[in-house]
Amino acid sequence: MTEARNNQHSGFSLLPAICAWLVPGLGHVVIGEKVRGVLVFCGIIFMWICGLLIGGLDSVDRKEDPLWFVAQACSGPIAFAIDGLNTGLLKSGRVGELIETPPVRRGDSATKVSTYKGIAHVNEYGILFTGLAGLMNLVALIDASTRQSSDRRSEARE
Amino acid sequence: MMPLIAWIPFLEPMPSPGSWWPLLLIPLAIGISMVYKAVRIERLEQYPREVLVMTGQIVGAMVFLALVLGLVVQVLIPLLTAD
Repeated sequence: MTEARNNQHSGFSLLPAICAWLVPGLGHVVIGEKVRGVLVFCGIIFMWICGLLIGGLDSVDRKEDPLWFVAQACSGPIAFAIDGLNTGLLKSGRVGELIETPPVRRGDSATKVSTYKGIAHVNEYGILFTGLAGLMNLVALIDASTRQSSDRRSEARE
Repeated sequence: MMPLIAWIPFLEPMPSPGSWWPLLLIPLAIGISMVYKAVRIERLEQYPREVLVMTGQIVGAMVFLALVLGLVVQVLIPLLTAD
């Protein structure tokens, strides 16, 4: 039987949850599951790297994609850092150029967007990768905060 | 041929993969499987195999769904009469 059994889960612990949010996988390291924590970290970072490679910095945008940002923010400070870089570098025009786009509705003023703004499939996949990374970190966070560590499991068996 | 030379990774989006974009599902499935199996399995010696199996299951299920939907849209719906 390879799947974890339900009786290895206990009540909710706050410290592993906070650690897992701050650094993906740290919650498992705190409860003594070091290898598991490293594997979770590698998985979440892999998804973030793929998402940023595909969609660029524009994959994380708190103002334009607020609901996706809720999912991305479950990965912790990394989502806020990327959103800050997007605002500070691309949206401010510090990197790339800002070009005018025609107004969507009559009466609206023209807006300026970065030449590095993502569109179409690459933007969708970038958002999807980073959003799913956040949701998977939420799964790992809940597991770390409710899982009994291997030490505590062996104590319970005795 | 994609204009790779002008691409600045991590800063701007990657050049459009054109009609190959569904292949991006594969790294997505690998990432999901890596995290899910790290949390789920009890004995980590089986981790690489379990990740590969789950990745195959996700990709296989998506291909199956794509085939079914393609069949419905390309074959079944055109058979419907306008009456």
